[in-house]
Parts: sequence; C-alpha cells; structure tokens
Amino acid sequence: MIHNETLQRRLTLVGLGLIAISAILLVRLVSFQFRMDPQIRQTFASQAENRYNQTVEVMPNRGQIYDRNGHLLAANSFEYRVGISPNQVVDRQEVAAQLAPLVGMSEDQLYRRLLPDSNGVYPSYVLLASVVSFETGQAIADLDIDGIIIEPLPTRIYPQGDLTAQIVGFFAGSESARNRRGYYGVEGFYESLLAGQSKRVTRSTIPIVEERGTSTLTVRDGISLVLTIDRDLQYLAQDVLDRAVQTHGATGGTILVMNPRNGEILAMANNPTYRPEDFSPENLQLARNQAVADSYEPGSVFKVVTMAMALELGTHDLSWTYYDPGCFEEAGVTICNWDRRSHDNPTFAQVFIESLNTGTATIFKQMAERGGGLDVVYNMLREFGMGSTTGVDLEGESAGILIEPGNPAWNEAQFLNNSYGQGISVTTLQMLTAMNAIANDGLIMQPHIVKARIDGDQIIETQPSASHRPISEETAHIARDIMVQIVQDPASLDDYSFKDYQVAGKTGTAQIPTPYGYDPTGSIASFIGFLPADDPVVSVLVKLDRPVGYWGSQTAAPVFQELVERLAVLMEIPPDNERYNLVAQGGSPFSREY
Amino acid sequence: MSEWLQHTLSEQPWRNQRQLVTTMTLVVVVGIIIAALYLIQTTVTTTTVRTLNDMNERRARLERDNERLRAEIAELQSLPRVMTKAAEMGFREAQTEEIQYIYVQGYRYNRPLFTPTPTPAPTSTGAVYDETLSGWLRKQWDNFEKQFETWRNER
Repeated sequence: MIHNETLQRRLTLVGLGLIAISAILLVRLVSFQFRMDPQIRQTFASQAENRYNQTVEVMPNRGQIYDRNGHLLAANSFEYRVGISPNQVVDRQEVAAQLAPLVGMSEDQLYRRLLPDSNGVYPSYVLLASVVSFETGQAIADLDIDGIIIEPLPTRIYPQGDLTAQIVGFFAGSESARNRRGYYGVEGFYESLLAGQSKRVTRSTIPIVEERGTSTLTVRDGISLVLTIDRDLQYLAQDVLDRAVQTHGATGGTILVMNPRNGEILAMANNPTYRPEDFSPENLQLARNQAVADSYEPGSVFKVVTMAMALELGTHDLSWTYYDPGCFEEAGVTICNWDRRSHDNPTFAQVFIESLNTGTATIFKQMAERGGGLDVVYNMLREFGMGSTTGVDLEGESAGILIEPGNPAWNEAQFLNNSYGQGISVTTLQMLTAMNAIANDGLIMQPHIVKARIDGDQIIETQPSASHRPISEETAHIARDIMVQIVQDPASLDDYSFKDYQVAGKTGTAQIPTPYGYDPTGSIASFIGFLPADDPVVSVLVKLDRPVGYWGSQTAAPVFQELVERLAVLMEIPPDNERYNLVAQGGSPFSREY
Repeated sequence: MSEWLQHTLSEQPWRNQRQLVTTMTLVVVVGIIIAALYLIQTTVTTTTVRTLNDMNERRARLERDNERLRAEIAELQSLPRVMTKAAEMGFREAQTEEIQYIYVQGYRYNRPLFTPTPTPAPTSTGAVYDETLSGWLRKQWDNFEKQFETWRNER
C-alpha cells in the first residue's frame, strides 16, 4: 500500500517534471519562433529564399536587321552554357560517359565533378562548359539527362558575312546573356531598340507556389530594322572597290553610294573590312566604319563646295576671270596648280574644269574680302556640314576638322588651302552629303541608314527630312552644269568617259598630312559625282588610299566609271536617250522608289 | 408511447457527448472533403503547370531552331553563293546596250517595302499556379453570387 502511494507520488512528480520541461520547451519554441533575433531571422529567410526560389531573366528576342529588299543581314542564334546538379544525378558514370565528349572534358574529369564535396554534400550546381555551340547544346538537350541545366545565350549570325559587316556592326559581350550588346554600326547605334526589354522573375521552385518578386515590366522583343542599304548594290560596290584596291596597289579605300533626293545610303563599302563573327583583337581593329569614322583631307573634290559657296555668296559669277601665274606666294606659302603651269586668264568655270588651285585660293580670298569677312566664309563651310557630324544613324561618326579663326592652330595659309580641300578634314559621308546639296537643288537631306522599323506587326517608315539649305536652287543648277562640263571637257578627261549618261563629277588628288608636313610619296585619290545630271537619282564617292597611280583622274575616276555603268543596270536607270524617249511617250522613269 | 417519448426527450449525460462527437465528426468529414477537393484541384493544376512548362520549353526550342534555319536560308541565299551558282548555270551580268526599254501605258513601278517575317513572340515564363484555398472559395462564392444575381434579374 505504502509502496503504491510512493509510486503514485513519484509518478506525479515525474509527470509534473515532464510537463514543466515540455512547457519550457514550448515557451522556448514560441519565443524562438516569434521573438527571434532579426539577424538570425534574416539568415534563415535568405537560406529559405535561396533554397526554394530561383531568379531568372526572361530575355527578349533581339530585333533582326534586313536590307531594303528584305534580305537578312543579322539574325539571332544561340550558344549554350551547360551546368548540372550532381544531387539529381543517379548514374554518375553513365552521365560522365555521355557528356564528356560534348563538353570537351575527359570522362574521369567530369565524373569527379559529379562527386560530393569534402563535407559529403552534393553541390546543387556545377558548371560544365561556359559556352558550347548551338548544335552541341541541342545534342546535350536531346540526351534528356536528369539534373542537366542548359541556358541559352543569345548570339548573332551575319548571313552576308563581311559584305555588310562595318554597316551592321557586331554583337558580343561576356558569357552572361545580360551583358551582351551590339557594337559599332547599326548594332551599336540602335542597341536599345534592337535589344528590347527583359524582365527579371523570381520564381519558386515549387510550381504551385505564387510567383514572387516579378517586376512590373513586360518582356518586349527588340525592334527589327530595315536598312536603306541595297545588298546587291553593296556587293557591286565592294566588288569594284576590292578589285580597284588590288589593281591600283592602294592600301585601302571607300565607295559610298547615296540617293541625294532623300538622304538614303544605298551602299557603303570599305577596304579593308572585318569578319563580324571573329572576335580576335586584330580583326576587331578593322570594325570601325571608315566612311563615317575616319576623316581625311579631301583635296580637289572639295572645290565643288568652294564653287557653290562663291556662287551663293554672289561674290563670283560665270563671267569672273583672273590671271593665273601657275604658282603664287600668299600668307607665307606657295600655292601651285597641279601642273605648276600658268593657264593665262581662266574663267570661273575653267578654274574647276582644269582644277586650278591658284583659282580657288583667289576665289576664297576674294570671298572673304567682298563677302563680308572670314566669318561669312566659315559660316558657309559650316552650312555645308564641315566640322560637325552629319547625324547619320551609325555608331562612331567623326565630325572631321575645321579650324576656324580664333583657334591657335588657324592661319591665313590654311584658310587658302581649304579652298582646294587641304588643311580641312572630312569624312567620306560628310563630303558626299555636302555635294548632295548641288545634286538636290540646293537642299541637303539628312543622311540615314534605317529605312523602317518593325515593331511587331507595325512598320514605321523613316520619313526623309531636309537637314538644311546651304545654297539656292539656281546656284545648285549652275554648279551642277559646271560639274557636267568638268566630266565632258576633253581637257579634263583622262581614263574615263560616260557615253550613255550625263554625269556631273569632279576628281580629287589630295596630299596626305604627316606630323612633318605632307607626305610626298602618296595621295588620296577620289572622284565624286552624280547621275543622271539633269535628274539625279544616285550620287557616288570613290576614294582610294595611296594608289600607285597617284592621280584621282587616273585611278578613282575609272573606278567610278565602272561602278556607275554596272550600277545603272542594277538600279534600272535608263540611258539618257532612252529616258528622254520614255518621257516623250508619257512615261515617268523616276516616279518610283530606288 | 409517452414513456418512449419521455425517454427520447430526456436529457442524458452521454447523449450530449454523442451529439458533440457527431458534430465534430461531421465537421472533420466536411473538412476532409474540402481538403480532398482542394488537393485534387492542386494536383490537376500542378500537372497542368508542368505540362505547360514542358510545352513552353519545346516552343522555345522550336523558335530557336526556326531562327537558326532562317539564318541558314539567308546564308544559302547570300550573293556570293547566288553569283557562283548563276555563273555555273551560264548567266552573266547584263550590259547597258543589251537592255531594251519599252513604254507600257499606265505602268507605274513602285517597289513596295517588303513584308517582314514576324519575329516570334517572347518566351514567357511558365504559367504559375497562385490560387489559395481562400481565394478558390472566394471565387466559388463570387460565381454563386453572380448566378443568383442573374437569376434574380431574370425574374
């Protein structure tokens, strides 16, 4: 009985003790749950977050790039980053055997990566290859291995190869999809439009749990671009240029083809160029587009600007004449004609037909004296776009160099040199845009390379816009007629002639400046012009760097001739007599889009 | 009869307990039914989400394949290839003097801006099930209310 009572009492005590311990544990548990140290709470929360949540960036499709006729110039493709979760792999040996040849590892090396770490814990992710090709990535995906993680990394394919490389630019970056972007050309200039808008999404790895941390942005595909470039014309220009560089032993060159009526760039070929899918430093050094990024002293082709300026300011007209001594001293320098000979008393037009430096220098000097000072001349030069970018939609455009009074580097000799295109630097695009004022009745149209933007089903066409009017229509027509005479005059003819079309043009042979004066061994030979002269649809600038033949009339002009003859066929520009016949019959040969 | 009635209506201590147990059992059974329904729906939704995710992945892969094919076609149509092929077939560039121009009454040539191939829609994230039990009950209740409103308006 006593024994029972003792037992009863002890059991009660034990019971009470257990209840007390449970109560303490319960209180501790509750206190741990609800009054936790914020730091510990934060740590646990972040651990839980990492374990059950995954933040991914939903990438949009990058916009594509087409030429004006819908030929693909830049298309999207993918590379892959390959990783694996060893804790989800069942047969490690088998997986290692299957994956090793695809990710460029030995079987043993890969097998070791699938093993647990020194603490015996299997890592949740192991990177197997930072970048594999599209085909390899697809082959790995086809294996359907548990735990394999294949992330697509966007990349670009340029189906036309190096043909449009410097116009389109290239797409590159780090191994992360987010850090890839376009560089140079259209890819660089329109990066934000082409890239679209991505979205970061934090998702639970448990599919039935609500999506968290989603940004309010929506994924928006990049806008596709249609360029003004005509792939066929581009091919023609590149082909003619490459052969010309080889034939004339030049170090490089540029051919630029534009529509002066609306500012569209139809072809822009450079030599040398680069391969857009080769990211080696030597290759990428050639990625800049020389036609917009490199400036040079244009030489005599610039005389067409001098001519238009003098006519527009009214300081000179067709009856003007002067005595040409062949060479003269002015402002401490000797200015000579190309042949260093006197041409007696040439007229205003003859100064340009015979490309007389003494004539243009005299005209420039008289423009400042009669026109109201140096400011008037420099204002006109600026009106023609000298010293400022054209605003073309290509990355890396240079403004050229126009040294004006007030600049310590300015001097009067340089001012006179400017009259025949020395002591002033322009890009090929600047030079052709300036001449387009003459071709387009005095109006400079904004040069552009994007013809339309495609946003989903919407096509937004770029409307041609006038940039400014440096000269009147009348001045443009007089200048144009002199340019026609330049091409037609037997005295100015060398190795070129145009039998089917009336062409307006001007040759140029520029000296190349060096830190020690002009280089006597080389020149930049060029030819600038447009056709048909009476109703221009295309303007062209051909530039050859350091050709063996030296003179523009003997090197660049024949290249211009070959180009426009083939280009006229390609662009379906009828020969002048055919065109007049068509017009006489009521046709309108140019009432169409080129 | 009266005795039986009295017996039936009389309050017995065990009878209260039985009522309590019955009520609780009923609550538990109803709870289990609701939970089972919820579970079935969740299972169906989860399966659907997984199917959708699989389909999304397949779609993304097909889109990538299509992009690749488009680029391949463009490469095959690139001018150097076409020129080589044309030369092999005996074609050559036309010269100006070989072209004959004719006047066609009313013909107006306007090269249209090409119609682009639409770019594929962005790859969205997989559909995510975000319904809670309270949300589901609320939706049922709202539907019920809507039906009731419709019925009342019809009358």
